[in-house]
Amino acid sequence: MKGCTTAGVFLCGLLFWSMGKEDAMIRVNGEARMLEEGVNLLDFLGQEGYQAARIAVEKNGEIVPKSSYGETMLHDGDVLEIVSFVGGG
Amino acid sequence: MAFSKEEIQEALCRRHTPEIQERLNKGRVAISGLGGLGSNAASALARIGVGHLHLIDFDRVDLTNLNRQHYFMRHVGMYKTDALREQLLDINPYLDIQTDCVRVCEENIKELFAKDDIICEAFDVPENKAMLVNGVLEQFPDKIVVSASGMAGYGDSNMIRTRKVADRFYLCGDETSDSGAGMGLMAPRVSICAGHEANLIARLLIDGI
Repeated sequence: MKGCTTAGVFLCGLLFWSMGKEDAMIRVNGEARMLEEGVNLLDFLGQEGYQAARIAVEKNGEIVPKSSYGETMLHDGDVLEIVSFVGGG
Repeated sequence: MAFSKEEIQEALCRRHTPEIQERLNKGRVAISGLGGLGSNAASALARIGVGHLHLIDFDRVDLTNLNRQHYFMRHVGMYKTDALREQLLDINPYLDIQTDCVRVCEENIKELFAKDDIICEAFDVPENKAMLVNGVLEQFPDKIVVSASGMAGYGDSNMIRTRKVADRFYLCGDETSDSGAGMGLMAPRVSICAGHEANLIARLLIDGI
């Protein structure tokens, strides 16, 4: 009986935790992506493997200053255009 | 044989029409990086009589540059700014050509590009490309950047394209062919990409697209 209660509390907790986390749908270079609401751009770029020194990022049509990547939060509906430069000229 | 400014203007007007030539005459374009992209793009813009060209590079012409860059044997060892200026004035001696033999960095962008309306990014190193594009878009509210990425090797010509990334930011190239992956830069494909940059700049000057 006690084990059953513990499991119930755990499941309720899990449900509450997952409800608290909202997902955000954003578009990156034209493709839809799901991610957690409120993730910042710097972390997102790192997770995706972008090299920060070789890219330019537009968010909803505006250039994002390099110094603002860490404080730029990604929200549902955001549109990102990430240009990753390669060598040659 | 020397020609007068009027004779050259008349010749250009006959090819382009006076209305279009007037817009090209007023053009203020910076070419940042005078390698395969910049030297070829600048030559194309000089030929159609873009009135004000600003050439920027810190480097000298090397023998290995001649496989794709618009220089000749006699230019090896010269600063690229001087070597290209000399050639462009051979095409049209009445163009206003400014040169800056400097290395572009975040700190000098504001001063360096103050008088230019359109900036042609023509660097070689990806970090420098990103630095210039970000720097211009961040530091100026109204200047347009025409950049290039992906033109190495001898792959399909038709993979090189021009697209508008954002309001003041255009990108030419296939966006994937990296010069670092054992794939050399060669005149034909680099020139195609330089042509994309130059043609887009012509369109911006003529039609303001």
